Formats: sequence, structure tokens, C-alpha cells
Amino acid sequence: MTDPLMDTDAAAPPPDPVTQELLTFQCGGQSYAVDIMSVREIRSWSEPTPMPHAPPYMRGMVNLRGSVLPVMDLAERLGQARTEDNPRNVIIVIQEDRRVHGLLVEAVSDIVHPTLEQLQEVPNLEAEGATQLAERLFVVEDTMIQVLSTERVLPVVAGSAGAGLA
Amino acid sequence: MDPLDAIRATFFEECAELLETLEAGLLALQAGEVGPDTVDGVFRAVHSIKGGAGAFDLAALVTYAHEFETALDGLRVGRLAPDPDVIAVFLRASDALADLVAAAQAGTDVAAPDPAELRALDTGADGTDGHPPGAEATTGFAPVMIDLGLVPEPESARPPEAWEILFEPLPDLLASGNEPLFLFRALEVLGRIEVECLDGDLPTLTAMDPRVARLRWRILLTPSATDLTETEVESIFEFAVDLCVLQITPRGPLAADALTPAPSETPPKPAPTPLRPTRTAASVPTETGRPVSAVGATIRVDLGRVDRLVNLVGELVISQSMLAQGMARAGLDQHSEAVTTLEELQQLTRDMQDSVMSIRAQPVKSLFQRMTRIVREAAQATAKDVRLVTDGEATEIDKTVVERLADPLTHMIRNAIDHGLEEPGARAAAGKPATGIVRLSARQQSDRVVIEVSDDGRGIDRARVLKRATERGLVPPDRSLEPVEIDRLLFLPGFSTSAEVSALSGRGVGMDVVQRAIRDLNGTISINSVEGAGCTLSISLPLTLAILDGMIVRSGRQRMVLPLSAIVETQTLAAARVERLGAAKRVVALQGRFVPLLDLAEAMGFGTVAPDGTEDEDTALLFVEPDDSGPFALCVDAIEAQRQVVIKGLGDNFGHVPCVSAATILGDGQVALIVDPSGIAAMRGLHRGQGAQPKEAIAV
Repeated sequence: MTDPLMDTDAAAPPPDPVTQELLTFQCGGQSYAVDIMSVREIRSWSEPTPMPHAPPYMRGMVNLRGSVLPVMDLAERLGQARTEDNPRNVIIVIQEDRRVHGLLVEAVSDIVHPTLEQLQEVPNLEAEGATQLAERLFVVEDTMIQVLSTERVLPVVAGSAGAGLA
Repeated sequence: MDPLDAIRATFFEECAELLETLEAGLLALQAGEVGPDTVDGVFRAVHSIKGGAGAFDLAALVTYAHEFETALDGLRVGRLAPDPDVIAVFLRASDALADLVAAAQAGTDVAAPDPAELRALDTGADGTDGHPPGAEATTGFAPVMIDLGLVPEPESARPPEAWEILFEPLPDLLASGNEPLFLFRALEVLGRIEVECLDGDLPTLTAMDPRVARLRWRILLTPSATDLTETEVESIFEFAVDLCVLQITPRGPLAADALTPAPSETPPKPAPTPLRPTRTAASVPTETGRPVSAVGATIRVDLGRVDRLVNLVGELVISQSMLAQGMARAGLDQHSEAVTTLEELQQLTRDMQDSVMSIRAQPVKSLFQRMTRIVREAAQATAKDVRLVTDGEATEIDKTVVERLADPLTHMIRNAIDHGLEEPGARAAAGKPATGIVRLSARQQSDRVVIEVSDDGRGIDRARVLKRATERGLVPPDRSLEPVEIDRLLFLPGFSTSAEVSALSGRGVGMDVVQRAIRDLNGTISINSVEGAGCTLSISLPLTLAILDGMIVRSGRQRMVLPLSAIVETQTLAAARVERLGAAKRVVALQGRFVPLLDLAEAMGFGTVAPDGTEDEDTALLFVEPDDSGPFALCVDAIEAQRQVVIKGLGDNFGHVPCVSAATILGDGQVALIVDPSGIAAMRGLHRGQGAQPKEAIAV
């Protein structure tokens, strides 16, 4: 299988919270993190081809070495303002099961190894859509970082792609 | 891999090609396309298999191929006429040969097929007048045979003692870098040569073009090895063969000075080998010991590698366009070396992209050809007279799809012959010709490839199907079903109408397996049966893996691709007759009738309509007519290009996107959507009423 969207080698070991590695990045002025095991690569910004009948946070598709990669604006997905076009924006390519998605963010920051004690539960805040996407929180140098669940970040296929416009 | 294993693998790949050539040749003969080329092609295929098999010590294969070859030789020299019975025997023999090759490849033993039928064909041949198995240098396959002299050559097959070679270069010979002197030196290695230059028809000095070869040569070769074959002599000229007229004549020992062929040494017995007269290489280039390459050699490549190549070329194109932009920014002179070289590079990349794209696509011809054997075997097993008619063999689909269609098609064809076609008696009673027809066709229909298997048999016996389904509890007894619904019952798992499962199409699988295989390819299968007139099964496959002829258009700020097959007509906006209907709607005349006019970007859901002011002379109208709606027109800002694009499915990552059938990556690396006109029609409510819906795919 040479589809660059699919990485069959990445048989991710079961996440071990003690040694979990996280990639942190900036998005909509806030800090977030995703499990580094789900990150396939980081790409520089290229103009996506818009998709019709898609939710507004879906920026469209870009060419990832011959495959079509969907790109979503993570800030907009998190309920914030649309990310401003900037050539310094980057696309984090994440893989969740068989699906590969690009997340448009402002900048990648660091790789961190929080210990189990550092990771906090997400406080239950009246089920705001945006908070649902984070599964843990932790603090590094006075900055709160939200660890996102890749599973929850990705849109539901077929259901949401055309929903609301049909 | 062990080097020998690699050679072995090559041999079997070649065998597959040769078997294909063999079958194609026999089928051509069966169809009455009789010619020496066809017969020779068939003969060479068997001969090459025999030669290669000899090198690998595959005794059973060699023996049978030899019998086959001997019988074919009868056809070649004219002792046998290519009448249907004879060809039928040969076709069966080719199946047997294919089985033997498969067994040899798998390393399993099969019972050696009985060559009696072949022997009976050609009573004139006693099996020894050809070459003994494996004793001859193989022509199609590389390993050199070493004749240890263990098998004594029959008297009549003894090679001549000298060869007369008439060599006449064509004008292009020198231009291609060939040099007659080198050819003569190579000949000299084989034995003593006497070269005579024929300078009879030289032009005058003023008319002489020094780049054109004008001389001809006659060479008398007395080989140092007595068993030199014509093939070996010809192989010296291998690289020049298309560029010269070559005549190689065997010469007897006593006739060394005469220009006529030597008389046979054993006049009373017809001995074809030494009497085979001159051959003109230029007219029959496939005679030169390269039979495989001459009929379109192929190699088998891991599909992953091809995909990688496709993707890499995509990357190359992007890097190149970035380079071009960078150079434009650097303000280089238009005539500078860098700019012109880049233009050459762009041309090369385009060619490369086209070539790479064409690798994956494959005509269905080879698949259809494999079905001829299935038809033959099924016809034999059921004692029915069946003719296979194929149509649209040039239709291209993705290689993977071609391969994965073989099993479902096999099953469908067996079903058509076993269940569809009537017994000969019943056909006569129904006033049909004795020979049943199974038709296999392929065509591209908008964004699908449709493959149909149809027969002219009795059609589906709906009463029996319903009875069986009720018995099996698949349908509640009191339920009344539409005929179409009854037909669909065939696709239910475990359904079989034959009272007892027949040896042929039974095999424990039903149409449900076929349906699953087609669904795995993201295809649909539908059935259309007319009682007494036959049944048609249509497989419709998406182009997810395939290549699409598309029209690249610009609309709004997007470039999009429309399947060429969907477009019935294009007009410029200026030339079209557009009328307003109400406040926002527009219609346009297509062949005297008004059809709806939509803006493509807007219809796709990309928001605002371009204000009227932006319409210019580039603005074009594309008329489309999806299967399930009336015609309508799409207005685009410009038509940019018409070209083949590779279809990238959106499946896993996007789910279904309305109005979009897939995406593709354009030459500059940008992703473009492939428009689904039918989806637009559905979105805009242009679909015909429910009652007019054409037959839809089975959804059990």
C-alpha cells in the first residue's frame, strides 16, 4: 500500500499515559496538543480547493503527494474565528483509523512528555460544543494546553459532510 | 531471489503471454481470419513454450507442447485445413497446455493430457518429422539450449551445409547507427563467409546521398558448426531486421554455386523442414526469433510500484511549477538557457505524466479473452452450442478492477450458459437458431464503466424463482412481488434455482457472491430479463480507480472537471439563445428546445452567481444529459482543457459529497472536483418523475 494517506506501518502501541508524547501547537490564540502517534506529518500551507456542501470549517482539499487530503480549519472547528490566511500557517496531518485529515493551525510549538499527574480531567462545562473535543488538560509554564481527541475532532463521515444544506 | 527462480518466473510470465497469443490466434482462425501470419503466430507460441519448458526440464509440458506443435505444423504446411473441428481440437489443446503451464508453475502434478486427439488430426505426421522436444534453440525464451546430441536428428531435418544471405539495407539502416561491416563480422564468427557486393543500381555521383545505403550484398556462409539453424543466422541481423530486406536461403552441399534452393535430399518423403524456402524478413518481422516482443510484450509490475510512480510524478509536477514561479520572480530573460530548458522539462514532465497515467488503465480485452475459455468449457459441459460475442474490448478500466472482475464474470457467464440458454431442442422449438449467443460488452457511460453479460436464452423463470424463494422462506408466501423484485431474489444469499446444483454453475456459490464481489469494487449489478428472449446482467463500476476523459473548466474561482461522456454539446454563451424565465431562472435553446441553464459554481454550492458583467467571450455552456433527468446546461467562465485525469475517490475521508463524484489532481498539483451532473440534477429537482425512473441498481 503506497497511498501516502495510509500508513499501515503506524501500528500505534496502546497509549501509555505515563510516556505519552504530545505535539503542541497554536490555534486561534490558544495552545492545544494531540497525541504524536496520530500525527503523520506536518505540511506547509497550500491553498485548498473548497468543497461544496461542506461545513464551514472544512477548508477543502489539498494534494498530499498524489492523494486528496481534506483540510479543516481547527480554530473554526473549535468554535472560534476562522484562521486568517497566512503563508506561515501549517497543516498537521493526522490519522485516525482509516481516515487521514489535515488540521490547519497557526504554528507548531513543541513536543512534550507530560506525566500522568500533570494531565487533568476536562471540567464539565455545560457541554459546550468546543470543550467536548478536548479529553485532557495540562499546564506548561503557566500556559494551559488542551489535549484534543482526534476521534472527536474529525467530522462524522457522510452525516456531517452534507448535513444542513441538503 | 535465486537467479534461476527469477528466470523461471520470467518464463512463466512469458508463457502467460504466449498462451494468450495462442488463444487469440486460434480464435482468429476460428473466425475465418486465415493467414500464414496467424498460423505462424500460433505455431511460434507453442514452440516457444516448448523451448522454455525444455530449459527447465518440464518434461510433461515439453512432451505435450511437442505433440501440439507437430499437429500445428500440419496446419502450417497445409496438410490440415483450418476448419472448425480442427480448430476446436486445437482450442482444447491450448486449454490443456495452459493447465500444464499452471501446474508446472505451481509445482504440482497433473495428469498429462492425452494427445491422441491431436495425433488423430494429422495422420500425415508421425510425430517425428518435427523437431524432437527441446532439441532446438528456443526462439522466444532466453536460456540457451545445449543440444547434447542425445536425440539423433532425423535424416530429413539435417541442416543445410551453407546459407545464402541476401542483404539489402533500407535507407534508414545507416541513420539508425547500424553498420553492415559489423554484421558481416558477426556472421564470420559462425563460419566462413564469402561476401559479394551488388552495386548494380547505383545512382550517379551527383544524385548520391552519402547517408543512404545503396549497396546490396550477397553472402555465402559456410557454417563451422554443422547444426547452425536459420534462426541463429537471422539473430545476427536482429537489430537491423526492420531496416533491411533479408533473404536467407539454405543451400545444399552440391548446389553451393547455384542460386536456386537445393533440391530435397530425400525426394520420396515429404520433408517440410529443409524445403522451407526463403523468408523475407522485412515483410515478416516476427520471424526473427523475437516473437514475443513483436506482438506487444508486457511485464508484470507490482501495483504498489505503479501507484508510487503516479504519486511521484504528481510531486514532480508540483516542484516544477514552483521552480517555474521562482524563475519568473527572478526575472530571467525569456530566451535564457534556463528558461528554455525549463520549457523542455515541462514538456517532458507532461509526457511522463501521460505515460504514467496510462499504465494503470488497461483495456478489458484480455479479460474478455479469458472468458472465451469459460464459454468453451461451459458449452462442452452442458452440451450446448454457444457463441461468445464481445463488444467494446478497448474500454479501459483500472488494472485492479480488470483482475478482480474475472471471477464474477466467470460465474455470470457460466450461469448464462447453464441456466439461461435452452437445450438445443428447446431452442429449435422456440424458433431460435441452434447456436446460443452470450454477449459480453463493455462501455463507458457517463462516470461509470458498464459491463454487460447477456444471453438470448429463455430469460428468468419468475414463477420458479418465486416458488423457490418462498420454499426457502426468503419471501412470505402471501406476498405479491413485481417482476423486477422477483429477479432480484436471485441475488439473495444461498439462492439457487437449479433443482439439483449442477456441476457447472453450482459450485456452492450463487449470484450473491457475484454481487458482493462487485460491491467490493464499489459497483452495482442489475438484472433485466425478458421471458423467452434472454437475460442481461449489467455491472456498473465507478471510476474510482479508473481514468476519466474530462473537460477542465473554470467557474467561480474554481477549476472543475466534467466527465466528457456527460457532455452532449458545448456552445459559447454569445452564440447561445438564452432567455429569462421569471426573475432568476434562465433557459437556453438546445436543438430547438429550451432547457434549464444553471451556473456551474452556483449549482455546485459555491455560493454567489457571478454578476452578468463578468460574462465574456470565454463564457461557455456545457449541455449535459444525465441518465435520470432531462438535459440542462451548465454555464462556466471558461473551458480550459480537455484531458485524461486520474480519479481520486473521496470515500473514506469525505463520505458522500453532493454533486461531486470524485476529485482529481491537476497538472499544477491543485485538487479539482469532478462534477456529477446527475447529482446537480437531483439537487435542483430536475429529476424525472418517479414513474420514469430507469431500472435501478439492485439493493436487496
